[in-house]
Amino acid sequence: MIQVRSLVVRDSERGGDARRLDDVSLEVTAGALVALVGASGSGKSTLLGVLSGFLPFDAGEVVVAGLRLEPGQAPEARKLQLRRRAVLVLQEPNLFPHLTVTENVTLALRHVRGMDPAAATRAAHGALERLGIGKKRGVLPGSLSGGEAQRVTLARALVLEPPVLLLDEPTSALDPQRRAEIGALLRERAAAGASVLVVTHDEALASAADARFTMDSGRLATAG
Amino acid sequence: MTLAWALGVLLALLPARARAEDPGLTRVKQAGVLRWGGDVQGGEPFVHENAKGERVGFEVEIARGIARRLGVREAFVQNDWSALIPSLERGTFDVILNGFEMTRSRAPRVLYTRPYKTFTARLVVRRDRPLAATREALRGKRVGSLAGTRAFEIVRESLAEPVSYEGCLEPYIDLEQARIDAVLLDDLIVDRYARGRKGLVVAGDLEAGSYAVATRRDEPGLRDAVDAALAEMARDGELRGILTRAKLLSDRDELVFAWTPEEQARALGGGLDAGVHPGGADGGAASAPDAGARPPEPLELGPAEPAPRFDAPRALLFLRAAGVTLGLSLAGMALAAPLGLLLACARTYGGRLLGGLAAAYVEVLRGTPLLLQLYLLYFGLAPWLKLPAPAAAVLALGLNYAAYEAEAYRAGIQAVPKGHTEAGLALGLSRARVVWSVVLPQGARLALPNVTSDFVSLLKDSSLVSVITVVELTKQMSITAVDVREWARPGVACALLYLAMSYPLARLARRFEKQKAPRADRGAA
Repeated sequence: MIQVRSLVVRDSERGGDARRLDDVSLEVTAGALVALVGASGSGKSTLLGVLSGFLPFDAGEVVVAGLRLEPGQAPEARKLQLRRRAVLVLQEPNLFPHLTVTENVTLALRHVRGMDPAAATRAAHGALERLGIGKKRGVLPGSLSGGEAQRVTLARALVLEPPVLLLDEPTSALDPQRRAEIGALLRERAAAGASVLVVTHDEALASAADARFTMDSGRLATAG
Repeated sequence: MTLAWALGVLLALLPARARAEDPGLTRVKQAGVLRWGGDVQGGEPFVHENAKGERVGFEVEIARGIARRLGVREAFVQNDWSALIPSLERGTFDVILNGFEMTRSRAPRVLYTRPYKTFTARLVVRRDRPLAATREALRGKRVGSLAGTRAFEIVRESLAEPVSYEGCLEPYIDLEQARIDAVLLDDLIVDRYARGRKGLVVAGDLEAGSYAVATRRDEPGLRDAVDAALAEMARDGELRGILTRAKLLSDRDELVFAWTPEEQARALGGGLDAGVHPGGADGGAASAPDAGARPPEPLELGPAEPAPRFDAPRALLFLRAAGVTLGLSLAGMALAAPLGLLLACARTYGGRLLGGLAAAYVEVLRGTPLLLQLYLLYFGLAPWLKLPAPAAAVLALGLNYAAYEAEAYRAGIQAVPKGHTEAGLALGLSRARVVWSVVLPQGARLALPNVTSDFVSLLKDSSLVSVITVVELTKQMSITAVDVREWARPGVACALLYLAMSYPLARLARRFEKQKAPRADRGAA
């Protein structure tokens, strides 16, 4: 469940009354897959940043997976609590280059979900299979293509099965067939009870969503 | 007057009381060993190393004679000559016995026994640029001598420009090359190291003196025991025998055999620095003792005695010393690397206080000479912390290089893309977990080429630890060079050994450098 009411994020770089997010209200219920579209710079990534505790906000009400956020800088422990419920998938893969593909996926399973190494490895292998990159599980990320790296990044987040999943352009490096597969996977997560909010330019992915919001200059323009 | 009388009584009692409580003699007897300090780099005929790595020389025999009379065995302790007094004071050994001249200037720091050998401070000059053997003639000239010796003091007193050397051979090489105008050193050294050099002649002697054993100021009991042993050796002819066998006996040494307390007092407190004057020590200020006897013409040095060769057994000593160098360096790095990583973490993540402390550590250790740090650790801390020399050497190298490693690791940590930290946090990992599992492994990997090349620097800097009595490769080289009277071949052998250790490391550093570049780039993409 994501609830956002009258959210304001000022633009500290431009100063004055400039706003990166201006009076944004939005709700993603449990079990819903919601797409957020709009031009670059319209504030989509800023919204994801606020919802995952990377960016502070100035005013409004934000509740993510039962956790109420306060305006201003949150304490580190609060952010950690939030990120364990609302996992963010960034657009850049940022795989850890010193760990194998499997180890990239098991790291958070072991240290966030507290799984023992064997169980974590089994879960990771399952997730990699689902995303069609099971063959690459033993390699280092340096040898992956852009699309493969993006799929590992998705596996790394999906395998945690968080109640809230936030994704920033998760299919930008994938071909159309793969994109459809990702759409199905996200639907599956939602069907399992998660709130999924995905920022995307991908029409196919957007049309697979239960609802679509368009962001324009920091404002939520249309719902549909 | 009562007061003065009381003071006099007190002063008379003091030495007696000190004697009764002197721990020095008890310590030596309980340990069953008399540890005597000297520097084998001083070479023949004092104490030097034979091809088997054994200590030989007339002072070894004197030490044995003394030890036998104390009912203990003797053990030589290698120490840089110029640091003999601080090492004696910190307890590295029990006595100094190594061409250690009786001088008034040292009298406040040590207690002297009676002397065991006389010497003269002998001036050697170039045949084509002769100089008179007088202090006046030396004024303004560049005169070489061994750092810290009585001869060096005389050079200073003559208002000459002193040029200081660590070994006996180098000053004569420089004199032949006309880099200096004269060399003033003990006659024993002249006889061994100046001979056979066709361009050099003896100008004459500036002063006579004698060598004695020295103990710590607060151990008069030990001094008295060694003194008594030397007196017995002088009486029963053992000392004469030792000097005769070493071909060192001179007429002047008769004075040593028949030494009196009056002469001891005059040597240390009277008008003369050096004490022994064969032609009647009438208190005249330092003057050439044999001025009348010496012919006005410069004296020939005579042919060189055959020097030992730089042969296989000596080369083996080099291998052993290279092992010491490698061992010290590995141990130093084993300390520097983890400590450096810790400092880098403190500086990056430690906040203002911890970060500030780490930054201060790095600046202080990098901003002061390693040599100074070695001295402070070994001698400076001695009153509170008596570290064995190898431990102090490893500690100094490790603490010093930790500062450099801290900077290498910090640069490595900063080179890890910020996106990796964000990606880790976005998965719900704690900040500490991200640092430990994501940033540090990559940062350490990125720092590896610099850390490896720092290890090469450490390997070379380890040569500095010879100042605290550790004989490593470079020190072994200078010891051998003095023994075989040649620098070229030992120098090349030493260089080859250093290269054999450092070149593979340099290659390794370059390989790390090549490996890291493509992987880090793609990982960040």
